[in-house]
Amino acid sequence: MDPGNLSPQETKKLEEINIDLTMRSIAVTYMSMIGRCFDNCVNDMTSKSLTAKEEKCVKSCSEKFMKYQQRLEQRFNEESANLNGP
Amino acid sequence: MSFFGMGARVPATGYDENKINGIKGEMLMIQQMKDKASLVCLEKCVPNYYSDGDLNKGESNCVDRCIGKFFQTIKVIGTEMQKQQQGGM
Repeated sequence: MDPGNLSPQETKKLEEINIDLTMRSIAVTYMSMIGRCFDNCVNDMTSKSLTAKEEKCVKSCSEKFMKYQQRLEQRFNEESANLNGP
Repeated sequence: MSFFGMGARVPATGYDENKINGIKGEMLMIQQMKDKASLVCLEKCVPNYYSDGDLNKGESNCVDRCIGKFFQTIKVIGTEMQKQQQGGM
C-alpha cells in the first residue's frame, strides 16, 4: 500500500473503509470462534443449558482462541510488511 | 490507469475513485488472506480439546512457522501464476 500523496478527502475515505473492513474482520473472527468452540465443546443435547463441563470448555476454548488470534495477527502483520519490501 | 475508463479525478467527491478502489481492493485482499491464515493455521496448530485457556509454547511456535510458510506459499503461487500468464493460455 502506498500511503504517499493522499488528499485529506482520500485519507478520510480510506479511514472509513478501514473501519468498515476492521468491523467485518472482527465479525468473521467472532463467528469463527463461536463456531469452533460450540462445535468442539457442546455435544450433549439432552439438556437445554450448558453443562458445567461444556461451559468450562467454552471458556478455555475462547480464551485460547483469542490468544491464538492475537499472535497470528502479530505475525501476519510482520510478514505482510515484508512482502512488498526487501 | 483506469479500470472503468474514467480515470480522471472526480471533483465532486474530492478524491480519485479509482485510486481509492485500488487501495480498498488491496486492503480487502490482505484482510481475506489474514482470515484464511487464521483458519488454516488454527487447524494445523491448535488441537480440538481444551485443558486450559493458554496457548502453549509448542502451539505458539507452530503459529509462527505456519505464518512463515503461509507467506512463502503465497509467493510461490504468485510466481507460478505470473509464469502462466506470461506463457500465454
